[in-house]
Amino acid sequence: MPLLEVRDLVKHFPVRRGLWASGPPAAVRAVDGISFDIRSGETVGLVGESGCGKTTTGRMIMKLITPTSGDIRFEGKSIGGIPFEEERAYRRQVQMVFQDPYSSLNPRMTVGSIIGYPMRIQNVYPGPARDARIRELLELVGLSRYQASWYPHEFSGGERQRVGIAAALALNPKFIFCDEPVSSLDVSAQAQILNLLKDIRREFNLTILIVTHNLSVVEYLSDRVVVMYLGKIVEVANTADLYRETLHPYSRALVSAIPTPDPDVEREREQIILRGEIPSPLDPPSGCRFHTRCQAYIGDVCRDVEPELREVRPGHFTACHLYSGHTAAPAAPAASRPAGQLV
Amino acid sequence: MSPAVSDALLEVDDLHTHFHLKNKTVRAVNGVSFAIKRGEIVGIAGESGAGKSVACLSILRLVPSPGRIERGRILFAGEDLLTKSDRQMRDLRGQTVSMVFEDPLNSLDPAYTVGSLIGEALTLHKGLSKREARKKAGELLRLVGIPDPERRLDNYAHELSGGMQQRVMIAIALSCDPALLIADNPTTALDVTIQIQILDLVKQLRDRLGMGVLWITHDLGVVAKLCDRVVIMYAGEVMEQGRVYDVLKHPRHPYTRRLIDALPKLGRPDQRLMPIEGRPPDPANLPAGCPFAPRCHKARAECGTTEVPLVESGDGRAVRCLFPED
Amino acid sequence: MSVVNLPLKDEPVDGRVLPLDAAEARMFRRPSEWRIFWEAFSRDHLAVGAAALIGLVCLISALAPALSPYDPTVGDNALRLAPVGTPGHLLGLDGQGRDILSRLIWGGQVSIIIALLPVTVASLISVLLGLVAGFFGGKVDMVIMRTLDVFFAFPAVLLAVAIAGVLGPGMLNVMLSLTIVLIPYISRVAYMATVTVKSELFVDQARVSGARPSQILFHHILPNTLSPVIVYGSTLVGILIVLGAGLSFLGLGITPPRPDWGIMCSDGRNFLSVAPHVSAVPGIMLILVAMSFNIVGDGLRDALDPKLRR
Repeated sequence: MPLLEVRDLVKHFPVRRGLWASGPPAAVRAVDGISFDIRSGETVGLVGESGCGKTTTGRMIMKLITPTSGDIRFEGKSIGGIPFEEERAYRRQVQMVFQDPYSSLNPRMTVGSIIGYPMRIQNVYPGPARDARIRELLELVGLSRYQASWYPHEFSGGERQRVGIAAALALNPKFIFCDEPVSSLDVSAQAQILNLLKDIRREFNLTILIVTHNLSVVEYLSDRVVVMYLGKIVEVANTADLYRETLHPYSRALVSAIPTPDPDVEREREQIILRGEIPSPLDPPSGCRFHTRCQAYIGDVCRDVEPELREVRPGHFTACHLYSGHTAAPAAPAASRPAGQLV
Repeated sequence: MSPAVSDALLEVDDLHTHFHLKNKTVRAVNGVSFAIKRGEIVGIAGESGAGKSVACLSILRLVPSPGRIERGRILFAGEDLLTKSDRQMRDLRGQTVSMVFEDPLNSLDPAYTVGSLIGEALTLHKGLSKREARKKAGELLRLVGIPDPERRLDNYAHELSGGMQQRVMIAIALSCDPALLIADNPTTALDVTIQIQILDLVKQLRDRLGMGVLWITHDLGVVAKLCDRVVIMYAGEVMEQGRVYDVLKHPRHPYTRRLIDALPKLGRPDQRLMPIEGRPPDPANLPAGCPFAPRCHKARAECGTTEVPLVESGDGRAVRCLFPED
Repeated sequence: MSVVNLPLKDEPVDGRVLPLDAAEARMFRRPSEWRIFWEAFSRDHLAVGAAALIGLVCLISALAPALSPYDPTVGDNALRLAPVGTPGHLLGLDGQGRDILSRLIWGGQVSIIIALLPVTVASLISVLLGLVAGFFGGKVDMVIMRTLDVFFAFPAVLLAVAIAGVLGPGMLNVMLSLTIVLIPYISRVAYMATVTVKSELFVDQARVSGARPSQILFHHILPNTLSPVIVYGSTLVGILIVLGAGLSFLGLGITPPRPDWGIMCSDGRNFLSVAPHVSAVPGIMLILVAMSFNIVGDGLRDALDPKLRR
């Protein structure tokens, strides 16, 4: 049984309009029907760009937002609409690392109190055991046990992120959701945090969901990758498979757009430059949402019919008409249309 | 003011820019030298706080007080910009040398339409009438790849997406046919698929218009994608420079090597990342000798005491290190 | 992994540095919250001076029965309007022959309490209103804040005068009127602080830890809301000192014969050309004390902000 199951998850944010606006009420369709599993012990990377719904998905898993419809199941049991005590028990198992290390630590609390806070709320590790655990966690993330009485502003961005990770580990959770954990850090701090995450997940056998727009980070940490675009899943695969044979045109564009400091790789790989802007989630395109920018657009079917997520190779799913209805899917699509005219 | 025929468009020579605060002096730029040729895209790369933005603001003499250019020469088409009057600099800015900034939403005046913003430079510097300016503005929007340009002229900045705003910034920067475009991290806030559109656009514009481009970034991947040459900065000094291929494939300075090793590489997920120990130095309190020495795994005693010179090795390659790698 | 800003003496063990002994441990210790606050506050010499002045004034006024040289309500007709420096009467006498220094000392009790108490009570009520409105949002927010907005429509002074006029003079009524006037202003400050803090990620972290809304309010939102309210409140005390005096000046304040600085200013109105000291002395006192509260407010603002401390 997977540790976490997401089924037909939908989240629409209603948009307030003036009294005299006409037509059906508008909504930002942040997440528009997605399903995937996360197995125990694996690290799943959820990637996509602005408006794809990855952060919203994560926040629904963390019960920071309530879904509009759909279900999320943890260890087989639904987490929606449960009484407070059960929710509390869920939260002991499921913790989060936040994106902005300058906002995720209360500036008025010492880092020791911050790390101890989850334990205090959940009433675990009482008394001196709590202090001991706080110091232990500080050392675990590479800080000094004696820094427990320091305030967040005395630490650098990378160090603050470590404090955040220590706090996430305080309750000994099974699952950690990392929301863009390294996006606001500089290169060196980023490397330190990524290494730290790799080390602790092995040490504590953690299941991790990492949301990011950076595909190199995802490749470094994840076992499987879920690619989202405008509220839908477009591809799911093992990391190695995804990079080896990227099926969905959007995923291919995404992979080709990731800057990498190796000029040889830059020279050799395909350069896909998409046309146009990312559409607004207020009014996503009909049919396949990517059809307005797709470099492999086949015809009216892309515009009219929404493709389903199908297993095209073992363990490799994609939602694209290039592969619909074929069990033996074609190899990489024929010569893509040239990058749209920019000038 | 048309640039001379010589190859070197801009030559920065031993630039020092310091900020004099109440009780300390922040030495943001300490002896930076590099050059750009016409039609060349040069990247200035380094971590935050390395002095890249200050160096570029110095070129345009836009360093905010209490900053001051202490020393050095900035030769543009053979003339030292530091000897020019304020009026001459004003004529230069936006016309011959223009700049694109990091956050377009902050740099575009929300009270004016896109058309007015672009037109302002045109009427100011080129003396075009409002109608001529509007027509030229429309052409510029088309040049930077904005669809339906005539309608966009009447939009306000906040009505456009981040990528479009950045294109508008570039259009403004290009409006007076500059010889040199300076860009400070203009794509960091953009999604990658949009970023790659902008990078491609800049390359096409360079090919078409022949201008020089100075591109500041902390992302070595962007350097690999866009630039011809790169200057690696640390603590206000140039650590290494040269052709992008040479510097990124065969880095000679330990800092460059460590920067590259700290990045996750596409296609090699099992290669463990190597972070750089310690923190960059406080620019108000720089150590003697090589600024990277305290963090350098190859540092020896001399590194902390001697002033390390920038040694050129032909073909534009230079390294500031006593024990460069090979 | 090296630790920030510390001299390292040991060889790293598994990449982590383990300090040698208790001496090193002491190096890491940080002073308590109060100490940090005091150190930051004391760096602002002006604020410390202002605070000392306020303290002195409060102390002297509190000890009025012991310190006041004369009965403030009894006048010596022979010495009416005697100037500053008259032997036996340091600050002179007023129109009814009453010693100004004594009236100043006794008056301080009223003038300061009239300012402090309403601010304190209004703050308590406002913090509650602002927290609830800001934290729960939605309809609760709308009801509370829109109701307060109605009060904003009236200029504060006018409102104070109107309420005091309706209730009639007397110390309690004055304080009630001032309290009501203050609530919208302080509530707004508390509300904005709450809304800002609510969007910080550490509040999400608290929710993810399983904290109840009440716990989040008390542990995270309240402490971060208190500082702006305290700073704003201290500035308000300064304003209220003058506003309270103003109400007394208009005859809407306390009932005579109890003195307060406002009434003292009013009493001297008719003698401005011959004996300006009668109004000037309490006037100067008002300015000094009001300004001191403002300066202390600035100092508090800088001292309470954790990021500005070091």
